[in-house]
Amino acid sequence: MPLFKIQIGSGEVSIECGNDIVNDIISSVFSIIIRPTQFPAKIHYRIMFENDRFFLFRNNRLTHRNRQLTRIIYALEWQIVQDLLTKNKSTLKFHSAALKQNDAGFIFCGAASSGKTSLAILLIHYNWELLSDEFAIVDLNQQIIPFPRNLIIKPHLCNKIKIPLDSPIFNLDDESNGKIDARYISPSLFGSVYLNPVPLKGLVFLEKSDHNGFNLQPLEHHQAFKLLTQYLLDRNFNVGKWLNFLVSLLDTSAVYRLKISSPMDLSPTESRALIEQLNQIK
Amino acid sequence: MKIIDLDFQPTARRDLPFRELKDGGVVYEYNTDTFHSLNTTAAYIWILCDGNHTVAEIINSIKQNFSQFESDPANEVIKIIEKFRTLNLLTDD
Repeated sequence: MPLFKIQIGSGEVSIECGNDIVNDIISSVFSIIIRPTQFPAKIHYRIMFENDRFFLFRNNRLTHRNRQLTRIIYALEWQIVQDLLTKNKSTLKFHSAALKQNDAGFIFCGAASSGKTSLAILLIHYNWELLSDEFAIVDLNQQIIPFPRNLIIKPHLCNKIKIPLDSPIFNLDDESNGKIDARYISPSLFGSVYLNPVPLKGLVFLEKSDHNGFNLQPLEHHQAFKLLTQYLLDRNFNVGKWLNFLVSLLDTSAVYRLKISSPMDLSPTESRALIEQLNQIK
Repeated sequence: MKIIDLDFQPTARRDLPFRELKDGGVVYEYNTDTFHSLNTTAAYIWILCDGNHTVAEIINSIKQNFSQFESDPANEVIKIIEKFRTLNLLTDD
């Protein structure tokens, strides 16, 4: 059976599946960085089909079974995300999008449905390069390690951007909206994706606004610190160490709050104004 | 519980990690996994809550080092120390 690997930083997984579903897997799961390989990784997934059902194994242990392949891919993708995040030890992981402009990396922290993916699509349309739309990994050298998962395009975005109509639909659990039908689209469809670590230069906190347009303002560090901890996914080393890490991130980054209702609803003039203001952040 | 008057010597809990930032600081309360963000004045007061300074001394220090207070900062300082105590950030003694 074909064998593939996905590697991010110090995390690596391999996937083995039948020829008939290879295209479904590689078009939905980390499409940008999934590569053929000869050897299984320490974390190895295998998808089997038997008696009208798909079976998903992680290191030979059955984790899921379902008649629908999309349900299996959904489970596989999420488990791989968790594995890759967990395996990158001594890093901080944030619930945030991350993008690169020139040589500077920016993290856009935001709650579920705050517009991270929409903003990422908007920025790459204006020649920023995507590092991640959902999770940002920052290492001890304050470099953002790209996490180029496929973009999860939720229903409200499907009408606003061009996506392949034949892409599979995944019924997934959304924190804000319950069960939704979403599509996993390769980020390369929207623009450039950058695959090397980038020094962190800016931290932007997204806040949902009731008004049209946007408002980008510097944010005081003591407020930013508290927000930053809200978007911190796990604290896998001692308290003192990650407190110091967060302090140093704030010390070396420009820190802003972006109030915005919906990045996709900005007029072209507003979009350009936002890009210009973001580009000016030093 | 002692009244917070001018002679009171507030003592910040030593078990709570505090980190100074460019414009203030943060205190981490690990029991509740809560962060308390402090503006510049509150962070300065926090540092002086070492059990060696009275409230009167803290007020004087604020007067000398912070120009933004047009009137007497005493009420503001006492309010902040009361807030520390309400949040269980001070020792009981």
